[in-house]
Amino acid sequence: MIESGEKMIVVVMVLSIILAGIAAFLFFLERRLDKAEKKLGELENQKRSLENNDLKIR
Amino acid sequence: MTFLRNNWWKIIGVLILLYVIAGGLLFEAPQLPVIRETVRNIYFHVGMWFSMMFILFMSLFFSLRYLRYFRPDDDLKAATAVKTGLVFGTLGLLTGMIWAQNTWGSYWVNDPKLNGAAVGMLTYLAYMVLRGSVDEHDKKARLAAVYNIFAFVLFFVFIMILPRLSQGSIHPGIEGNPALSAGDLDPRMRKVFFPAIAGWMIMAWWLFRVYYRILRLRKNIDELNEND
Repeated sequence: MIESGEKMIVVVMVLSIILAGIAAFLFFLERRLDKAEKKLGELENQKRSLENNDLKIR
Repeated sequence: MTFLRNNWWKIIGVLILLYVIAGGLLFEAPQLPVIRETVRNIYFHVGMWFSMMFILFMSLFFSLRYLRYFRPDDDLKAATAVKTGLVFGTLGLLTGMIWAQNTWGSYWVNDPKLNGAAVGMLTYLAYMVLRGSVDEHDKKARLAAVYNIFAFVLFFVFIMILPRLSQGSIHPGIEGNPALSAGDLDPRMRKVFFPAIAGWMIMAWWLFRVYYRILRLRKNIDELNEND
């Protein structure tokens, strides 16, 4: 242990909270991305089926 | 359970870095003359720098793969990896500057290693400028991929070869592989140093993946809008 042990523990806690915050933000972003990618996939499928129907009608 | 299955490596990465923060600042470290407690910076500065090298190597890999198969996704991955590498490079420079201020008394000294690192990063900033200056997508991707190979080689010349040839650098670890040679690192520090390298690399890869997914989504939305 270094001399200013108590101050260091505070620094460790602050850095740990920052890291945990960054990790939580990344997990949150990934969740949003999952949803957005799913929605985009649905839109693309919808568009494709509309195009197919359009071709059939013609 | 699905969350754990999909994200186990990210959780491990975060846990490793939490250990690195705690161990890096609280575990015993050798009291070297002049350097003293600042030796702990090695867990952060070197870890971030290694992560940058890893992610820039991945960028080189994606560029080479793009030139082989011409898949637009590989170009996007290469560009994203360079951006991620620049983030870690900047963090590495900042932690290095803080260390330099506390050890050498100045944030920046006229040292071949430091100048090489700065010029090396400028080489990669030029990659971003090059990408921004070409409108046609295929042309941009090909030019960027070729330049990326050139940039990777130049970067290593600037940070590894030239500082050694100049023999005037005061940067620690200039003689061998920084912090990896047997005499470079005190055995007490290895239990934190090696996990730190792994932890920062996992973090860099995670950041790269998230950033890539954001850019890919944006690109797909743009393509969908263009086709309407």
